[in-house]
Amino acid sequence: MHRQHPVKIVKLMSKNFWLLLIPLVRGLISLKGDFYGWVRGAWVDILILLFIVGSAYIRWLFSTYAVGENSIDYRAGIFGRMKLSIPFTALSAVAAERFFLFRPINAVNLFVDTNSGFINAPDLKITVARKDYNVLFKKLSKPLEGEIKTSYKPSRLNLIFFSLIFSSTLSGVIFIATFIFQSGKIIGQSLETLLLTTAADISEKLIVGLPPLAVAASIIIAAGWIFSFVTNILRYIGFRIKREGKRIFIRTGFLTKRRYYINPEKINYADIQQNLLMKIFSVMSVHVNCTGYGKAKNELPVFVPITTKAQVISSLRFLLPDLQPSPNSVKPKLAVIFRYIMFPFYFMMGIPIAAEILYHFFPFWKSMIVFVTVMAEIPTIWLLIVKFVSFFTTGISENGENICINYCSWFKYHTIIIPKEKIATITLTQNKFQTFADSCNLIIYSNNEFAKSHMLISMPLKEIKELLNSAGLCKSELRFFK
Amino acid sequence: MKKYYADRTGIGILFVIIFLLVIILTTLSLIFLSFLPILMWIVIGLFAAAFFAVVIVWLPLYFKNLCYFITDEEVVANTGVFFKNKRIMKLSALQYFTCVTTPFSEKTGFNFVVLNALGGNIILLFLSHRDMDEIAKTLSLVIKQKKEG
Repeated sequence: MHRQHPVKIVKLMSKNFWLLLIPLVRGLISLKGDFYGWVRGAWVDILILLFIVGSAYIRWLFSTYAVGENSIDYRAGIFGRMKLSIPFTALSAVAAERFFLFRPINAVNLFVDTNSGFINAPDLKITVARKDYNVLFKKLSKPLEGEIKTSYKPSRLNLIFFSLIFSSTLSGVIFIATFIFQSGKIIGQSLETLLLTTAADISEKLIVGLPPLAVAASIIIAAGWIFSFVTNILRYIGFRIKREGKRIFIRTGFLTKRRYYINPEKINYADIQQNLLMKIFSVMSVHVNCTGYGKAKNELPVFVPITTKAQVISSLRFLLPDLQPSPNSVKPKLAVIFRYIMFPFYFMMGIPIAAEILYHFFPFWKSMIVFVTVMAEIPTIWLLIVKFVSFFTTGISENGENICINYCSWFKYHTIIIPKEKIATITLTQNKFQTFADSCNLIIYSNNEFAKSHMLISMPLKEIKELLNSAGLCKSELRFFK
Repeated sequence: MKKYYADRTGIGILFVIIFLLVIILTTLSLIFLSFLPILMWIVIGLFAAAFFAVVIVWLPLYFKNLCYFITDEEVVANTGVFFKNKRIMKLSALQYFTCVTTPFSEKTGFNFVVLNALGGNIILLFLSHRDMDEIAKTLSLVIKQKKEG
């Protein structure tokens, strides 16, 4: 058994350690090196710091691991000793992360996951020496006779385009907002105030006519998106995927290198994703649902980052030969088209009415109301267009041992290819209005660590029942639906 | 099929732990609630009642009902006192298991096994050290047979 890499001691220290250390050091500096005076004043904080470091060291001392021939073994705990052994056959995914700061000291974070255990966290999270990480992946990638090897590597331009499409403004803004807030807590409120005042000053100088608060928010949102874009580029540059028989390996990352092992038998479904622009240019991105892959924060479970439809089909044939898309055999009828555009249509009509009402009561907020109305109306109209197009793309089909579902969720189109055995539950719902149109909503739940549903709205009931019966997914009569 | 019962040594250890906890809480009540004697005595009375209910009534019944069956195909865990609980896990769904021991667990009966499977887990509580080792061997064999199969 080996101990984890010593850098793990730092990770085992609680976040409070840094919140205590920085003010303590500041105190020592402000006392101009009067060490004894500093100790007299801050002895409680110093003791707490030493306790945090000491307990982290002891926890590190009592946790060990070993990479066996057929399993990963782990022991941990001081008073309550825990022993576990995860066989390789149970693995759904293993992620190895060589964080850029740890690369000079050869420390690798390993995240081991199976289809059981914790939902929001990997089953095993350890920091190992690079040689043990090499040993583990060598065992996982031991070549077997007669297995076919195939690989795919997207171009850099494709990866940049992928990062452009899949950058999340929200994640970037959350990061920047957290940074501003936490830096205020550690260093003092002056930094938070300074940053916000500077943002408002710049906004006043740059643009005339718009409220400074709105422009400051726009700058923060733009900064958040740029941050997310840059982190995505750094995360996915160098992406390449390789299939060797019944194993899939993925490498990605520039500063922080990541490597993944995926057991294709544990993949629950493949998800081909597009937004409207990608649909127009006939490009798509393939993701997979597999426990342990894409679980980390800001990590996308990407399989084929972004490429043309023809390339996706040909890549899937080699990488996931058991999961192939098929054209829709059951589609919604024309009579239900309004159901698809209903909500964005109502919002599109409602936003200007709400703005009028607000302006009536708060006329001195005119510029802010106009700004918010425009900002809300643009995505709503875009959503309306997306939902209108989704009516023509939504559908379901049976393809051998798989079911292929096409649907739209918010601004994204999904093509889900799911093996029948990975379908956990099927729900058919019908409200009174749908009774007249003889349609229903079909919700398919896939085997996942947590409930994940795929919903098709206002599908023709008779055809859906026939498809479910022919696919062997519903053996009993659907008595509640006439 | 093999049946395993909880190690009743654990009752004695839990009795001591809960007794010490009640003593500490009673002392704290005497110190901090002495300004309001009625409230203090009500709180102490509640602690005493809880101690009696848990240690004298509930704990022995809990340990009496706690038992586990391991067959060739499944693991069944029977728990509960007033609300009986039966959990069945298919061995084919088992992914891996974790053994948890505490200091002097060979004497105290504080040995636990966590079975992790698709969709959930089952925790086998208060096993004797020998039973825990036996269950661990059985489950390792099952996992090995799954791999070979």
